[in-house]
This record gives sequence, C-alpha cells and structure tokens, in this order.
Amino acid sequence: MSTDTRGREAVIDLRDVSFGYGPTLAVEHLSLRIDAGEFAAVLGPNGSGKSTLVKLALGLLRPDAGIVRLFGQDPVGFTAWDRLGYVPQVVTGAWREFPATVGEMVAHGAYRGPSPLAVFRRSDRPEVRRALDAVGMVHVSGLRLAELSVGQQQRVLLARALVRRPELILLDEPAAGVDASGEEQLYAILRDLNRSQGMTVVLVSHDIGAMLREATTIACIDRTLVKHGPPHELTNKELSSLYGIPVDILIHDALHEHR
Amino acid sequence: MPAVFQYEFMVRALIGGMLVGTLGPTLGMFIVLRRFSLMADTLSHVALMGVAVGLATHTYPTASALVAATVAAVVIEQLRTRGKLPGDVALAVVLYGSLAVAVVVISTSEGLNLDLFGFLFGSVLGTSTTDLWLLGGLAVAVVLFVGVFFVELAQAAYDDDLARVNGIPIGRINLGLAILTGATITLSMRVVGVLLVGAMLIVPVLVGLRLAKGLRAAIVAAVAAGVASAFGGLVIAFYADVAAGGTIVLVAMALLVAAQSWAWLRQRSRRASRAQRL
Repeated sequence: MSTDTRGREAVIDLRDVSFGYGPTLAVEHLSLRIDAGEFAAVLGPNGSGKSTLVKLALGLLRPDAGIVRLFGQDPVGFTAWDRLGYVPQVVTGAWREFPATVGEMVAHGAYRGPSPLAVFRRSDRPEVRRALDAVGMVHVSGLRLAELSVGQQQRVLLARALVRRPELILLDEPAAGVDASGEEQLYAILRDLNRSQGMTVVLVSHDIGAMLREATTIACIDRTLVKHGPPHELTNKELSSLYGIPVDILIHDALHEHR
Repeated sequence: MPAVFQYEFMVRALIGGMLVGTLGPTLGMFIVLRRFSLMADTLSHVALMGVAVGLATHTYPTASALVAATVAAVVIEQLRTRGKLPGDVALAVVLYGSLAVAVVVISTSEGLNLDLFGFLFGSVLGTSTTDLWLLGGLAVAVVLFVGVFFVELAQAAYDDDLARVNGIPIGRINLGLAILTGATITLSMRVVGVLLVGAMLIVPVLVGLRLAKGLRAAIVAAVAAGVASAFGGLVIAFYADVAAGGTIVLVAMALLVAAQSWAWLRQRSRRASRAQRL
C-alpha cells in the first residue's frame, strides 16, 4: 500500500496517465495522488478531462499509458468496492420511466453479492433509513426517483453511495442543475462526512467559490495536472489562466466559519 | 364448459400463451429500462432466419432458431460492451443481416410458405406438448435468474457505470439476460409469431410502468398484463378465427391505452387537488 511521509494511505494514485477517446487525448501525462481523509476538489474547464479522470480512477476506463491505483490496487480486478461510493451526474429527464422507489434505489446500493432471496428483500431496512436520514431524504423513500427534483435525485444517489459506509466517496459535478439552497445542503452533508466521519471526498466541480471554501486540497486539471495544493495557494492568475477568463476569488468570511 | 376449453390444442395454446405472457414482460422490463427495446425485434428476426434454415434443411426449426438467437444475443452483447459498435447500430446490423439470410433461404426453398406462415403470424394450432415443456423449463430458469440477480439486473438497467462501481459483474449479467431473451423469443414465436413476439416483451412492460410504483410491483403488473393479453387474445382469436399473434398484441395495446388513460386521469386529479390546496 502506498503511503506518504505522514503515513497516510493514497486512496487514488494516477501516475503519468494518458487516455484518449479517439486520436485526441482527453488526459495527457497526468499524475495525481489523493490521500485518505482529504476533501479534494478537481477543477477545470469543460473538456479538461475531469470526468475522464474519475472514470480512470474507478477503472471504468483503461488508461492508454500510465498506472492507476485505487486503494493501492489496479482497478481492474479490484474487489473491495464497498470501500467506496460513486455519485454520477444526474442527467435531467433521464430515467423518467424508471419505476424504482427512492427506498429501492438506496437498498440496491447496499449490494453484497447475489442472493437467492434478493427479490424478496425489503427496502425499509435500518441501513437504508440511516443513509436516507444522512441526506435528509427519509420522507421521500416511497416516491419514484422521477418524482423528485434534480437536487433531491442527487441526494438520493448520495444516500445510495453512503449506504455501505464507504471510506471514499467520488462525486462528478453533483451540483449541476441544483439550486443555491440545494447546493448548500449538499456541501454541508459532504463537509460533515469529511470533517466528522473522516470520509475522503473527491469532488469534480465547476463551482470555484464553493470548492475554495470547502476543499482541503484542489487539483486544477487541463488534460494534465496544472496545479495541486491547498486552496489558499491558488491564485487568481492561475485560475484565470486555467479557465481562459478573468477569475476573481471573493470568499465571504461568514462562509468560512466552519473551517 | 366453454367451447374454447374443450379442444386440447386450445388448452395447450392457452397454457403456452400464459407462459409467454409471464416470460416476456419479466425479461422485457430490464430491456425496456436499459432503452434496448430493439433487442427484442432483432432477436425475433434472427429466430426467423433460424426457422427458415430449419425448414429448408428439414430439421427442427425451433432448435435452429434457438441456436441462432443465442449466438446473436452473445454477438450483440460483445459488440456493444467492447465498444466496437454503438448498441443500436449493433442491433441494426444483426437485424438486417439475419433478415437478408432468411429472405434468401426462403426464396431458394419451395413449399416453405405454409409452414412459415404459422411461425410468422402465430397459430393456436402451433403449440405442441414439447413446446410447452420447453416454455415451462425456460420459465423456471427465468424466474430463478431474475429472483437471484434482481438487484444486479435493476442496477445494470439504471446505470452501467454505477452498477460496475458497486461490484456488479455487469458483463455476465447482461449476457445472461441476452441469452434468456433469445430463448424466450424463440420459444414464444409459435404462439405469437416471429413478427410480433417482440411486442410481448415491450407492450405489457409499458402497461406495468404506468400502473405500479416500485420495480417489483411494475414487474408483477407487467406480467399480469402479459398473461391477460395472451389469454384474452387467444380466446378472441379462437372465436373470431383470426391470427393469434396479432390478436394477443392488440389486446396488449388496448391495455396500454387503458393504463395510459388511467395514469393521465390520476395525474390530472392530483394536479387539481394540489391547485385546490394552494
């Protein structure tokens, strides 16, 4: 297992990774290490390879070159999936017909291998209720996913990821399509999971202000790693260069109170 | 006793029809939710190719159709998962390729037309005792598969990536679903006919999705709609002396219209009561 000088385990470790969907590389010579206990934000403009990075880390894509390690293991052949939870982007309008209730969706996340009684297992189990409670969604457990707003759907997917009590949670633009209050609720939940429960959070986002506020470490990506470090080391000039537009960081003190 | 139950061939057809009405929607639910509905139509055309080859070579057409549908199901799944072709394109290639083979084989063989008619449109006379045993065996296999791998199938239907990260062996699950779908379509075609067998995997599922909340409830509602369509359609076909397959699917369509209307009325009344509260 790969550990740093302070003895912390690398939960995600990408070494000189390149990957292309076609002739153009989406990720090029990218190296990034995320340690246990971090709240890591991955920032970058559209097409910078943020979502590709998450899929490479999870073994959903195989790198053309380089090495990927998830909890010190090659994601291909990885079996300890209960150590992590994944929250993909909620696509508006997708799954409109999907009949599963919120309770069923979260219960499916508690998967622990095939079972002859799987079809008869109830959804209102303590672990499902606990996960829904953690994201404030117990009251909608009987509703269909399609009956919820995007922000609520996102929280259900978060509950689904939390139901096995993972050590690491990866979220791909969880605030996309979510209103300001939904966003704040989501970040408050993630903050609590990271600060109080020690869960490693890796969050792909466009929300520069929120990430500078919430994250303990920031990785700026533009096909390769541009900058990696604590938020206070990130300058306006570096962010402006990353996004190709002038970026001015303003963080209200009140929002800093929790840190 | 009504006349329809006094004929052995009709009793066989009704039992076969109700087995088809159970098998089709049980697997069809996961195919529809994966937005892979064309799979049913593609495999039925592959089965037609198998039937044509079986009839032309004077062997057991159901066996050659079963082999063809199973091989096609595996090929489609491999093309799709290995990213060689997008899912819908893989289906289109296999559909047209097998249909072309079927047309060529039929055109070179004489005297196939009458035999083929029963396979194409379904027939109340077509269900043999052997077909019933095969359908019964397949029903046991499908119920066991869906019962044991319910969570895996549900997750794979919702999102491939999410299922993989949850540790689901998604390739094997999808392959099992594809092979059982191929077998279901092949063994169902004697009752419903090659041209319409795919509808039994899709239309009752749409009825179930409009009536039930929750995945398990939706499967139960879809199976109920499938069994009712098969039973009602066969009885109507017997008395009206029309093709069984078409009648079964028309009954399923009528149920879909009724379910859609009910869902629409329910939605309207909910909106009205919400407006009253505000």
